[in-house]
Amino acid sequence: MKPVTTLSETGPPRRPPRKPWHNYLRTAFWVILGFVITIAAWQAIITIRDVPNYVVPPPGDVWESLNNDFDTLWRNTKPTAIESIGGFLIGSGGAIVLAIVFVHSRILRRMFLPVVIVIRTIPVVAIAPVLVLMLGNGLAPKLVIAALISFFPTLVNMVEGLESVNSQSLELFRVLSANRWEVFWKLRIYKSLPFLFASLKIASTASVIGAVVAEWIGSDKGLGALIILSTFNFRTSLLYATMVFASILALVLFASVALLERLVVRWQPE
Amino acid sequence: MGSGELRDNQDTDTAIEVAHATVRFATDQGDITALKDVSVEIGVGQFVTIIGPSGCGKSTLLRLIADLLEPVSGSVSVFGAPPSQARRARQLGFVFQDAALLPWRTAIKNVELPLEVGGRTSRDRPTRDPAELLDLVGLAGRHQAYPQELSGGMRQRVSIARALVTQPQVLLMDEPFGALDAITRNRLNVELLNIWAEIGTTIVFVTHSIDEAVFLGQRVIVMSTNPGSVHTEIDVPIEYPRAPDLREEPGFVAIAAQVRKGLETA
Ligand SMILES: Nc1ncnc2c1ncn2[C@@H]1O[C@H](COP(=O)(O)OP(=O)(O)OP(=O)(O)O)[C@@H](O)[C@H]1O
Ligand SMILES: [Mg+2]
Repeated sequence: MKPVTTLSETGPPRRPPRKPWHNYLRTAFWVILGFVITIAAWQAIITIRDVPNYVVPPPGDVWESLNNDFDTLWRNTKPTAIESIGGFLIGSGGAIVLAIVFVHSRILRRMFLPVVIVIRTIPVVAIAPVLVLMLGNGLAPKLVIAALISFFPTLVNMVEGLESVNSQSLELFRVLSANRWEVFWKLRIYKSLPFLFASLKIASTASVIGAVVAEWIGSDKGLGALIILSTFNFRTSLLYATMVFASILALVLFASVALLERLVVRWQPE
Repeated sequence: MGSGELRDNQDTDTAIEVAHATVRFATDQGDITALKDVSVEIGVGQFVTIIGPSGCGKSTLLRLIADLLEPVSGSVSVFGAPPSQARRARQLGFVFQDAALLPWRTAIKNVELPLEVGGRTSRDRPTRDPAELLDLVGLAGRHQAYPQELSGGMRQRVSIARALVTQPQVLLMDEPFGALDAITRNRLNVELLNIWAEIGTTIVFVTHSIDEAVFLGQRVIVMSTNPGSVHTEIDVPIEYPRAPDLREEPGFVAIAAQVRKGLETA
């Protein structure tokens, strides 16, 4: 038996070649240009239409507020971050566990998936006051709302991912006399990961929305509370600065999940 | 096939016996009879190829032997026992049409998969070294490659190595080279015969190619469709090792013509 070495030497490279650094620079250039144009358009519109500052502040004022009110903004970012990260972890963790249960028990799935879907259709804004009534205005209702909002996309995607195994893979595992446990840990989990990360990315930003909405209803701290406060006081620049912080928080969570995905999902899903 | 006493005499030498097996699938449009009264007997260490029109039940027959399906009537036995026993005892290896590799595992990790699953049955069984097997199928130096970094032919080699790692006594191959170009296919045919010569396992090989069927097999089973059944069996009395240029020789051409006629009347 002689191995065909010629074949082994051809074929695609082991890893895709790293993009040259100037490609990243070029991408960054277009991204920055996009932001610059948007901000310029913002400035132009309020100048041309003569929009009052307390309705829409000019970008310069927002920048000023970002600098001057940094301490206030930072102090209020921390509780919101805790609520959204905590809620995200609880919500998606719970969703993963429930998805695993659903995949293994047809009956539980048939019974409770409709319940879950009905609950899902209730807008968070509608549940939030109820939860604040039930749980007071401490950390608990915010965690629950952020968790709820992370829960549904993760559950639905995770169930779909775990079931995305094709019949040929299942036949392979059956020929190998693998048990359910092995099929789960060596096949289903891996199949589900790309689906899971797709939903975690959605859930990570949604959890920030959940925490902010929860803070609107009953809180004296956090970015949500700051939004209410600055709106009532006509401090529109601070309001916009708060939105920038909320957006950055969501982006940081999103980027962390994306980074984790790159570390975990190192293969190319079919 | 054969009379009772003939079968008794051959019992020790029979690897696979399918006797009057009928397989039906329930579908929305009613039942489909995929196999009807199929009887096949394959001796230990034989290389048998199966050919037939699409939908005649070739894959179904393999899956029947691999304990992935059960007949509604008739019987299947592998080494005189039910196929489920052979499967649990790791006597069966299966090579799928599209390799069926796990994309998150490197080539070597894919070959190791059968050693990681199967619970208690997989322990204390003679196994082969996955690295050695990858070298055997011509993938030395590509052990750490992921499936998507390999060509179709290379993936099929990995899949063959994976099927061999448990040292199966029976290797079931369902159109393993169907998606490959003619040159790669011919090369892998030669390599497969070399592997067979080395490990001496029983091989049942499904193909759509007359050429491949005659080149590889000691016997070609021609199946016909509607319902799926065995049409004819044609012996290929050509010595091994078989070289690629065998295909031009009159003996080979004559048998290939015979198979083609069988297919035409199937
Ligand atoms: N799981 C299934 N459910 C319903 N019908 C099936 C199933 N598997 C196979 N069949 C039917 O059984 C018949 C035989 O199928 P099979 O896959 O064995 O054919 P084949 O000879 O392997 O065909 P091909 O050469 O195209 O692979 C076909 O009519 C097919 O539609
Ligand atoms: Mg088939």
